[in-house]
Amino acid sequence: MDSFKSIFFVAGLGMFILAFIASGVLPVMTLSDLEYSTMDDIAADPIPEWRDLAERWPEAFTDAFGEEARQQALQLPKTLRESPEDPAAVSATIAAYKEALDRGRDLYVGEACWHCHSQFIRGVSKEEQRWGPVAMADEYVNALQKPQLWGTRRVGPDLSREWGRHTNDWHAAHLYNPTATSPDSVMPAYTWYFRDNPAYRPEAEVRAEAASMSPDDAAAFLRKELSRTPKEPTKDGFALITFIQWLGSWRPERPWDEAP
Amino acid sequence: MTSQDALVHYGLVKAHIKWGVFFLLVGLLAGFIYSLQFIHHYPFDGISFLSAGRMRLVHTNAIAYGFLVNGFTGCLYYAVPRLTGKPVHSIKLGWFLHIALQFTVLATALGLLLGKAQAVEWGETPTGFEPGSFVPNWIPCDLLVAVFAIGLAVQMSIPLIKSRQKKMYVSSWYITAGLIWTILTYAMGNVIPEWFLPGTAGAAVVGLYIHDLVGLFVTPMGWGLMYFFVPIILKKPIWSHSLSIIGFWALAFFYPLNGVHHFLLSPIPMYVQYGAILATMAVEVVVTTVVVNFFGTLWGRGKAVRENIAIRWFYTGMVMYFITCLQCAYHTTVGAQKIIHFTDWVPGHAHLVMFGVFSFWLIGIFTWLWPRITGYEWHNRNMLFTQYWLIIVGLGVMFVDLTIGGLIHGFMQANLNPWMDIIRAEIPIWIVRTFSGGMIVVGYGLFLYNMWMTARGGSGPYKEESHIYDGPEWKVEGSHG
Repeated sequence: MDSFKSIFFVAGLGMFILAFIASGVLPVMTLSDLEYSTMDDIAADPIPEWRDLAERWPEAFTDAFGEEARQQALQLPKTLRESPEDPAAVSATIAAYKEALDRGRDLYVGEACWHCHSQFIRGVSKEEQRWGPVAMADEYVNALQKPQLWGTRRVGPDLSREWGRHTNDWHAAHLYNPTATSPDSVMPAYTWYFRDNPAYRPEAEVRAEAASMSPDDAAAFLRKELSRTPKEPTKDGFALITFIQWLGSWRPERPWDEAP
Repeated sequence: MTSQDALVHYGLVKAHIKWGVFFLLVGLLAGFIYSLQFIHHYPFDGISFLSAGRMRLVHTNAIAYGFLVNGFTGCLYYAVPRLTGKPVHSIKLGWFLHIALQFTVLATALGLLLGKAQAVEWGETPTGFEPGSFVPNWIPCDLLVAVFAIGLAVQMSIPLIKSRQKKMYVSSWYITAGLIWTILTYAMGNVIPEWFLPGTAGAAVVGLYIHDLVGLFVTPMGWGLMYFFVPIILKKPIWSHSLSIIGFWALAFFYPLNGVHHFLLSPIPMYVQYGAILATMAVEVVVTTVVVNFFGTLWGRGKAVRENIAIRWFYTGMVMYFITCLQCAYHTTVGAQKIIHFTDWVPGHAHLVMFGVFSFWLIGIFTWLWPRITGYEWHNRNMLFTQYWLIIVGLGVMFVDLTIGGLIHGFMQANLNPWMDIIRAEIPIWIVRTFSGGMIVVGYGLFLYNMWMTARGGSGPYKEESHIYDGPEWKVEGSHG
């Protein structure tokens, strides 16, 4: 009982293997029927927010993913889970979307987002009312969940039902300066995922220029110029927003609105 | 110098302890700086590689791999040759492993600051590959930690096997089991969920890893060293051998089964979760036997807690250990989980066990070993006691504070209060947390200063007879049989 061999083999190896079977192998067997989705499966139907990113920051999007990916993104369907009519015609943007999701996940991990934002809804503490349906095992069997990002702490809200809750603009502003959208937020600002927008011009200057135009021209001109933001996402910024927007897009329900 | 002293290579002991205390300073400072984020005073806003999230990773990893691994390794180099009567396998290998470990920890810290973390809690050490593939992107720290763990097992197992004792000391049980558990745990957690098991099934393994790194590396090493140092300093045998046997085997059986309790009320099959909850409650019974055994050992030597700073650290740690495990037994129940999971309650609990127990024990061991290693008396003995009070009060305040914060957060969440109201309610809690952390940093700073001055000559050469309460005044008691 207290020789090296018995300690090494019975306590060391034996007990470890027993526990691995009980709390590792058994759940794996229980869950073995669930279907695994590869990156290609996930990226086949890009979320509408991907199209919106290409519309919102065309120059930055082109710099990040190329003009072809941007042009094709504009042909994607505007609703969730509607497959593109001709996947071959939008293959470049799907490849870019796949790259963005993958990179976005890496950034989410590297910035330790998962240490303050959980990614599973429990059936207690009215979490269903706050965020949406309780987490199911099959939601997490895909290439972006290796390992899963459930987290063990919620300083910020859960993100597994994030899709459809906020616009791309909101996410960009929130990542750049969290207190701008959520006063008193303790989230760090991720300014390094944004760059100066070279096309941005101050409002006064734009309006001065529009004053000399015909009313119709001026309206179109103002709409275009005033929608520009002083900062725009870098490639990593696009990737991070894409990944966060993707979270929960796999659920069929419309998003739950959190109390303000 | 006794014959046992000749077996110990003091250079390795000292080198590991030095790096260990350095990395604890790094870990504590990183934690302190990280806490400033929560009170809107983060000093490195806008600097990507010093951002708060990455700082948190450095905080836990510097302590786990830099401090605890170095600290335990140094103590093992001291304890194992004395337990077995044989020197460690190879001094050359020892120095190679020593340098490899420091390189690994520095590469890990740098990798984390550059955003190369791996998504496993307590195992954020960069894999060195793009997730799930074999495209290299950084130094493969995971692999290096595994090499170190195997090397350490070789170093320590060989004297344990060679000693040919029919009955091993209780310390040796824990150390033997801990060495093999560490290798298995590390390999499991850093390979399976990343490459083979996505999602929910992988989460069960990740839970097992989070728990086992603490339960099967830190805990057996810690208790192994307690079973070694407490009888030496108190100069009497452990109170009850039967309790030692129960404590060890029940720990070996129940501890590894706890893993899934880190993801309760998750999509992991409920029968696995209930199993983990029951095993967690069982651990409390085990822990009680071990703690009772140690307090039985203290019986009649109670004065040592007041006079001997090492014993004081040890027994403070044991009280903390009992509290932590008592917490485990009820806060893993589904009812308590509803409220406390995802809240500050959990970091409070984690600080109590990782700092209040194992770091306290290591600091206690260092206070006892340092004069013996350097050959000088402590520079300032009173400062050791000041430091004790600063750290214990700091940790106590932090624990109570975070526990209250956890309850506030938990109940506000259950009451559907708006999320930002929860954050606003917690900010005062976080202000107190930063101050309590500051006390710990200051207390630890005093300790480092004291160690530094001692190594440079201290208050004179080391005199065995001056150590009254661990010296010749106490006669060595015979075994109870």
